[in-house]
Amino acid sequence: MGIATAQVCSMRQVATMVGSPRIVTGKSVLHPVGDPILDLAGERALRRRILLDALKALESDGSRDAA
Amino acid sequence: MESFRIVHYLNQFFGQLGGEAAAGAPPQIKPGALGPGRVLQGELGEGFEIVATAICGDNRFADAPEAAADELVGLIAEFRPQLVIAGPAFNSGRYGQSCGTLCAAVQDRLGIPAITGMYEENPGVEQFRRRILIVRTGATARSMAETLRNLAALTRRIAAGEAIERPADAGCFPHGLKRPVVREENAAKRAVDMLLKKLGGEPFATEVSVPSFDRVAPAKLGAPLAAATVALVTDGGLVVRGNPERMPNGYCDRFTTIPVSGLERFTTDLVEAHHGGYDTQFVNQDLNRLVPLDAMRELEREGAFGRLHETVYATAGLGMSLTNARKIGREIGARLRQEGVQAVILTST
Repeated sequence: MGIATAQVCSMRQVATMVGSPRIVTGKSVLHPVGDPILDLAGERALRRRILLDALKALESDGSRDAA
Repeated sequence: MESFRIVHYLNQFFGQLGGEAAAGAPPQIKPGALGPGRVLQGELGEGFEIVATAICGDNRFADAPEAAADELVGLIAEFRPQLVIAGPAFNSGRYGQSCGTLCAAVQDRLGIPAITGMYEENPGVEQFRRRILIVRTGATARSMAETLRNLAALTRRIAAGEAIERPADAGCFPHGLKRPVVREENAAKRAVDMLLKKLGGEPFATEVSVPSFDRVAPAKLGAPLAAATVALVTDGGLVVRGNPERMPNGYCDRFTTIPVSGLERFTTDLVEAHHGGYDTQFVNQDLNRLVPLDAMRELEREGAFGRLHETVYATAGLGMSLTNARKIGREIGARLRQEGVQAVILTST
């Protein structure tokens, strides 16, 4: 029995190809949960949104991609 | 009847010149079989003779491969072999380079076949499999006995004048060549026949191979999220500042841990990103862009999930072999299970 996992990443096709079950789209390969052109408040909000998607994905059964 | 003449190539270690200290040994040749060559001679039996053993230090070869190969080919030619066998090199990178380069040079300059043996992850496989026959071996010299048997079997086929059309059928890595073949039936019929067999549960042979990744059934969250312990994991190369565990920036076979108990957010005095596969400048300005500790703490306070696990697990994903990925994944999973974690958010670069 494994551990439910949500993966935040930008290269969705690679993740899908290897069978990663709960894929959440990250911002960029270079900063999956950040964005240097935003100010800190903007980045925190971005992180929060991505994490809420990831938490929601964790509650799913993993049979389809989350967001 | 004259024996089939073979020259064997070994590095300084298997050629019994010494260990790393002898890695600078110059190209040289000695009559007869040496070391593993003696076992190989035994496997080959009558009608085959290892007439000489060529040796060169791995470092000496690596420093000037063309020159070393040239010199060795010159020495080998004197013994008029019909085949050269190099190594086997198993997973040794430098030795694999020497064996591959030498075999290619022998084939080009002496016009005789040259074969070697390597483990699938040896970089020499990708580099040389198109040009020479490389027998598949295990990762270490523990598979020496079996490898020598396989090299002997291949030698017998070559000596009998057999053209090895499909290297994969001879225990070797495929050349990766595409040869046009005319089939009796057209592709549409062949594809439908294949599909019908597949649907009917009968065996069928694919015409195109795709790498297969084992499918793991997704685990379900065992507890309600509001009660769950969630851990953060990354393959973006997060390490404790200064990299005290000397994590490599790629080709990892292990992971590291970063304690985050009581920590509200990552700061650059505590952690850094060490990864050779992407430009880490942005995450190194703010590591929360890689592993979102600050936002997780906020959500933890709000009760969006139970609690944040006190350890972040990290490795660098650059060039990670599937074998190592599985190993690391299982090890981290076992630790998390033991530590009472119900869910993971993995941030990947």
